Amino acid sequence: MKTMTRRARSMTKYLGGLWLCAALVVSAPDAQAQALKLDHLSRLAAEATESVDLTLPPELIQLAAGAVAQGDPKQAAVKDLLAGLKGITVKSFKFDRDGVYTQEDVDAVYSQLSGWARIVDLKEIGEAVSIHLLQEAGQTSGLVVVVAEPRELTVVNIVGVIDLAKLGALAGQFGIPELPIPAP
Amino acid sequence: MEQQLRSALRRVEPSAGFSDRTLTRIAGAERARASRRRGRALVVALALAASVAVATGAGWLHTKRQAGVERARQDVERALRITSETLLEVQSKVQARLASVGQEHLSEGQGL
Repeated sequence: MKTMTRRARSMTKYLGGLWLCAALVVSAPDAQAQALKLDHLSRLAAEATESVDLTLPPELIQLAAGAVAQGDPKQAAVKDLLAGLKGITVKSFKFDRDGVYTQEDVDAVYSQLSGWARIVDLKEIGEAVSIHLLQEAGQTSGLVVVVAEPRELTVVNIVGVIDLAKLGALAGQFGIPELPIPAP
Repeated sequence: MEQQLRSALRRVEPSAGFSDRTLTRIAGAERARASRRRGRALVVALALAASVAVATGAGWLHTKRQAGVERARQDVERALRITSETLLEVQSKVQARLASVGQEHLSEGQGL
């Protein structure tokens, strides 16, 4: 009888542990879903006159956040902004001629954005710019900016809690230019 | 009594080889002391070498870590700068489009 009770307790603990793990997995923000697969764009670097290809994992961002000086309120705001970020990917290419990248390259980005809100969508002949946001639990947890011009292609993907107003408030700090974003 | 004292205090010659044995023993003791001194010096030298190696390694690791942190800071700064510049670019395009749409409406209004 005692053995049975001990087993039952052990099983309860085991199941409790499993339940807790499952709850954590379900409630954890799905950073993978917010991070786009943009590797197909990296090949453009070979044909670009200027290129920036940065993929920053959360560890690197937090390392950078640790290097931000303490005490200064503006620097604290930078730290605060970085604390919420789980990944930044920047693919930016400038070309000396038209038609280096294809519409399929851009469509491969758009195809990953189902469930994202397109807050800006501007299309002209040979040109498309758009901003997409992913909202989760009332917070912006993903940002994608696409600028596709005949001789330029830039895709930015930020994963994590992003406060655009905070980003705007950091003008002049940490290399961030003036960004006139209206307060929410 | 006097006889006994004289007998006890009489000069006795050391056995053969006594001085050699004594000198050998002194030399052995001297060698042992020198060996112990060398051993201690070796231990101190090894400890110093280990300390220097640890300090150098720690310094190298610190420098490497600092370089990594600085590189991370520069990468994040660059990424945020490009993000902001791209958002600015989008914003200016939207404003230009709004201005052009406004002009078109104005022209249409004047045409009527």
